[in-house]
Amino acid sequence: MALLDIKNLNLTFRENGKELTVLENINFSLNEGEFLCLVGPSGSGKSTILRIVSGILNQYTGEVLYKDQPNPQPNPNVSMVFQSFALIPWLTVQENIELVLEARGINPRQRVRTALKYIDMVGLDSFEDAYPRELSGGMKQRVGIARALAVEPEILLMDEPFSALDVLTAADLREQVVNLWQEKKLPLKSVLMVTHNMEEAVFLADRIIVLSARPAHIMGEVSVDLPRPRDSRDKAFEDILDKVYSMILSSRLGK
Amino acid sequence: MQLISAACWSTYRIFVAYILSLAFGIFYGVSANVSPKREKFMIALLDVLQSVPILGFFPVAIAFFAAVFQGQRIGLELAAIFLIFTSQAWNIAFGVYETIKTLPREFGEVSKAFNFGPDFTVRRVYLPAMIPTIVFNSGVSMANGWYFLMASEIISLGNKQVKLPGLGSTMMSYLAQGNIWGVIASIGTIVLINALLQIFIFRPLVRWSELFQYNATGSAPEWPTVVDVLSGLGRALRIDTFLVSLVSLGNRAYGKVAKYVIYGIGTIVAAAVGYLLYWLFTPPYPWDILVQIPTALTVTAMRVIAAVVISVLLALPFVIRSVRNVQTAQNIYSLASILGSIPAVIFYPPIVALGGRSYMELLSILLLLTGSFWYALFNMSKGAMLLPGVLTEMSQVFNIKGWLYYKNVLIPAILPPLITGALTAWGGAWNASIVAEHVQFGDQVYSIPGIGSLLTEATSNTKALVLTVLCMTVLIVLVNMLFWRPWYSRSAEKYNITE
Repeated sequence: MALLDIKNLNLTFRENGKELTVLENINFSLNEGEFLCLVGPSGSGKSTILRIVSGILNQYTGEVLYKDQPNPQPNPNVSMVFQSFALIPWLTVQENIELVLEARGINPRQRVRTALKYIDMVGLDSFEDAYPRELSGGMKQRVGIARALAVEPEILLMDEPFSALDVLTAADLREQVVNLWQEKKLPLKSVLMVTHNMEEAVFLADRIIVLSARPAHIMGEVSVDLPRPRDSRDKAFEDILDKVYSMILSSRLGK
Repeated sequence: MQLISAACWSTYRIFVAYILSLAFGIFYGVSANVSPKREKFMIALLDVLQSVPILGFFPVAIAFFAAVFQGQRIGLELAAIFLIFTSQAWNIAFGVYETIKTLPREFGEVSKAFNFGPDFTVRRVYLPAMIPTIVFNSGVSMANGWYFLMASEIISLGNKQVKLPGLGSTMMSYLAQGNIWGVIASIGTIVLINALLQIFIFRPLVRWSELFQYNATGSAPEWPTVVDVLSGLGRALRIDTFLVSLVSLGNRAYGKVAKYVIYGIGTIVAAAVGYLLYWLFTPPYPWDILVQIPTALTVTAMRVIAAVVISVLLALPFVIRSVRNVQTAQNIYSLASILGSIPAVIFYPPIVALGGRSYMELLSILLLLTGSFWYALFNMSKGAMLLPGVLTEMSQVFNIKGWLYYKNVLIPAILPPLITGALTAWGGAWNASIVAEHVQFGDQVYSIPGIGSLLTEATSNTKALVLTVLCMTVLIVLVNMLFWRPWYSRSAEKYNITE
């Protein structure tokens, strides 16, 4: 069953009198229980799609359906992890998470309990009272993930969540995210992630949608039927990576 | 004993005006960001308000308050508070507006993605984010309030003078009696009050406000006692709820009723302005004053420009020392707040009398400096403090030093705050020019040509007075629009140094 249907999504900005098409006829769905990656070159408008789904952007043409109904804006069952973490600098780790719970009208005692639960889940216990400025990039993104999960979404949107982190931290965090999603202890059903890192996409996703450079349109999709945990040195892994790679290359040559 | 009661009176007026300025500044600054159409109008209006020389504008305000309250004490109190308010509010409103405008995009995205709603966003994102600016600009505003103390406590109503109790009027009477020790004790009291305010309130607040700076790094500052006390007080008085409803009142001014109210007020204001213009442009014209305006403006403008240039140059050595140095910048902030609060105008008449007419030209520029230097210092050292570390590190690595460093790295990097400093210094110098050119000491009158002395000459003729103030304001606003604002936006774009 499709949790999310994107139909004929188009987006054109007007800048200095010039029209700038960012998205061109985007169609795809996010199925229940699926980890879907959108892959494409930098600046192709991948993140824009996430911003439309999350309700940050609302000028577009086309349809976004959540469970066959128009996607409410904002949709309380959707949550987001940002590339630049987007933590509030004057709030501690715990307060950052409590903030989004407070915005949902959750009572103080429940807020504390939920915040601590998710802080614990991402491995940040004993850092509740630290400020973002006192944390490393990896730890900041753990807070970002804990915050996104704390509102108990069905769909998690991730906008290049690991691209600001060093290689080891990113690998570590990737595994944790897959585990959290696979364990199915959370209400979380599906993940929609945007990345320009093809290997990361093959490592994480059930299905990969390849987007072209701006204006973004869908070049094709690749399913990744590999058992988890995956190993990037497997032959099958490399084959799929090659497929994605050539699809992106053809998007460049096609231009 | 007299000093203590005078000090209490002055402090009370300055704080009431300051609290009103804060509420106004936050309301105005946030509301101006609601829609581009409203932004254009509100910022242009704020620019004009900021440019109207407070001292020139004051007689009109007094006449208004005196008429409404029929000369009762409360009317004069309100007039005094209003004058102090006009010296404090615009600067806070501008600071709030610019902070919200330049807030990183991710704050808005988080608010939307997690469905914060407008009131929640104001309370939890906007209000905290504006704390550093508010604390910093409060230093300028406070100093400004004290600087205009005398003007606010000695009020001319027609041809009689009314004195409100306070340090300004006390100082004036000491001076009239020739009681030098009394004057020194009054100045000492002002310095003491401001030093205490700095030590116990503003310095801890400045240090704490670093927590709310979004590009800050390193360990977070502690919560000082004063913040606990203030936030306890704030909670008890439900200040945040008050501010949020104030702001959302502005945001919701789209509603039908509010629209009619705004149109109504707009019509009344337009009618009043129309009547004023009609009255101004019906004969008889005060030709004797009018023909003097162009020369007077030019002469004063020269002095003001000199004061601005000297202010910026004098501030530079201090600014260089506060590059990436939070401690020095905070010390400069405190020092400028304390020294800038001394109403230098009080020393001016005796000094002019001592120096005589021949030195008055020089002394007047010195007085303008006391009204302009602090602005340059405040804004420039703030800019230097926030300079990205990469720039200074890069300069060290490549051994960029001396003139090359100042010309290509430091000055361009602090150019936007430097322009803000020069722009505000420009306004401050114009304001001081009103008292700089005409001095009465004992029964001796000293005067040099310029718009300030022309204003004194014009006091007897209301129409001439209003026309002179109007010409002065138009000139200041024109220069702001045609020179400062374009220069600022160009340099803010070119030398954007967000890390």
